[in-house]
Amino acid sequence: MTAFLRDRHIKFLHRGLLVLPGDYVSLDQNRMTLAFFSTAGLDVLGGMDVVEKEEIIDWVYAQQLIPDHLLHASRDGHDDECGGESGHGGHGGHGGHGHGHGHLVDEDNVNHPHLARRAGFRGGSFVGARYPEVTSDEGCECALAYDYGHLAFTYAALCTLAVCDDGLERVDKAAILDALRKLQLPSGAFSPLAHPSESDMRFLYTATAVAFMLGDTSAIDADAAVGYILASIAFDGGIAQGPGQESHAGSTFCAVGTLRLLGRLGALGDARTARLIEWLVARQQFGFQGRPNKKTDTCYSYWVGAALALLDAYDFVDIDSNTSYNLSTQQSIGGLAKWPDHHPDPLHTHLGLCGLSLLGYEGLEPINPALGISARAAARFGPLPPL
Amino acid sequence: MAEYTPFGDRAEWADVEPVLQDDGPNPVVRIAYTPQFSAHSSSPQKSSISTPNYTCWHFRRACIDALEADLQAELAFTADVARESPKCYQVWYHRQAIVERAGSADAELAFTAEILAEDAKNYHAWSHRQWSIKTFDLWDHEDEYVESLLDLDVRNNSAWNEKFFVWTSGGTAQPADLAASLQAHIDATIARIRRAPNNEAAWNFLYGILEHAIAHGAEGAAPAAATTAASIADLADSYIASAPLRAFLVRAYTMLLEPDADRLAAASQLAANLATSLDTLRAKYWNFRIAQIDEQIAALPSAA
Repeated sequence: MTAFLRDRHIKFLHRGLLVLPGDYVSLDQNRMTLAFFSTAGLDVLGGMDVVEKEEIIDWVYAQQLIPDHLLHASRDGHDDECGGESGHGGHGGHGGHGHGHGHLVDEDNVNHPHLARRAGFRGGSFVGARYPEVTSDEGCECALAYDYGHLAFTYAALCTLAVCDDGLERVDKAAILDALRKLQLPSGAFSPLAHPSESDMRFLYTATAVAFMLGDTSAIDADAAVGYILASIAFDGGIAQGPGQESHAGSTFCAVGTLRLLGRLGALGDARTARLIEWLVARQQFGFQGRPNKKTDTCYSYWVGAALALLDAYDFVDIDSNTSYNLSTQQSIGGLAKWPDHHPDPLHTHLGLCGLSLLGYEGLEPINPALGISARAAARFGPLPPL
Repeated sequence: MAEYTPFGDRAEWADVEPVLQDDGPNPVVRIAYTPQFSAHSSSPQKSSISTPNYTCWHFRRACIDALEADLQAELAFTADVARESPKCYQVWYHRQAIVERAGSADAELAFTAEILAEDAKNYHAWSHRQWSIKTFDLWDHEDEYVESLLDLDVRNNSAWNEKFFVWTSGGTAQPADLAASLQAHIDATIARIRRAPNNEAAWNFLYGILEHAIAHGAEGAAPAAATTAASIADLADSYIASAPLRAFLVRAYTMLLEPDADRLAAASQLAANLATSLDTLRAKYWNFRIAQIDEQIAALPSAA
């Protein structure tokens, strides 16, 4: 079996935290996610001593949006642009037409739901927000018309802070929980941000994980969430991104993780749970695939493995073949790729390491399968709710 | 490729005050921007380097609404971007938003078919196609399309999923509709299975339609399931190496049909065959199933 290249993986993830090549430019608005995968991966490797945690923590906090501050700064005359899409989840072509001052016409009110929904973290500084004086209590003072928190980045930010041993003291918990309550759609799914957008199982999971990390899952309408998940179970027993769609290991993890964090796994019932476990177990082809008849990919050792672990069915995994697949995706420059002889990236590195940790591979931190970070970092959020 | 002119050097951008990115004293995951990206458009362009940026697309829609822009031209633009970045969530959402504004999905089936011709399992294209069909009632020729994809690749799980989507009309089909077409679907699926007996997707479809028909009270579904399982048990001898065939029967005998002593005994034997010979990668799972089935057998009234 291939040797484990621990030091090279630490160097690879550390390099990525400092500066990435221009090839990554299309991920500019995703820097928070890259920071998350890099730090969380270093943590699983036990390599966090190479980073300056305080610098990362300050940069993460600089991406936090707090509606009160938005409102305050708007009145100082930073408003601009030609108006956002009106309403939420609805369209009609009447966006900002005729609104001289854009979003401020209907959002210049601290109680307006559209404004409150913006609370959270953005993926990076791409919008043009000014870097806040992190030592002041003002937080982010900017108020750009197109500046929004996004659930995926809020999830990534909170995980990154936890991995860096930050106590989340500077997180505006009330504002983010309030945003969560307003972002859940009648279907039970979530929109990831305040303007109309796609909605699917990913954002139900990230919303639920955010609520759990902030200590209040009552911000999620659990019955609606369960309804959406049950409606998304496909004919083969796996779970899709939404009703009618194809079952997929990524969305299946998101659904199982949501149910586990809400203490609602029992809602699946015995028959559906049995079918789901069989579907998940069938994804192993040495490594794991994400859908029937698709190629194996390192990241599914986490998506499938964590879902099985949460369903108390990880014992069914064939350890040796999955371990040797994940090791075969290590690259000589460090990092793991989705396939052998492919380019490595922080996502597949972190998730592949999580997969190896679930497999019990020596020298890696145990992980919390519901959150996708080390059990050590997740411990600050307390135990998962009862089943 | 034409020579690139930075936005800062273009006449039409002369009155735009650039906003410098402020990343603070210790930027994390700093990206070494190319000169093109450093002065990029605030709205995605063709071949754009910012296609996944949801903010750009949102701004673009706001402008389209404000300017009452030509929606057909926007659909053409969106198609070009999707052709270049077919797995970008944001461009697909944008296209959906423009189709909604236009009030017509006339081009959507052909467009998604074009994308699926390149990658028949593109999740975004399938999602958009299903949304178009449901929203604009475009069911009429979808089964023909699915059949053509299965003719090309019978292992295309996305196509099997679409076949189920069409059969159930996205979950709204009535029991009578399901009952009327169940047997034809069983026969056609078994015909495809005969040509590729290890194709998990087809086996899952066959089990799925039987389970769905029974659960929704389609008349004749339970007897059809029993007949189907019996004919598959006959096939087992000629398709000796098919693990999914046996997995299908284990599930059918224990969960789909009335679990009598004969069926449970057969299920236990099939699971043992999987554990020791056909599917040893999952030996631990099949051994667990054997233990479960033994408990089911012990709990039968006749065994008490």
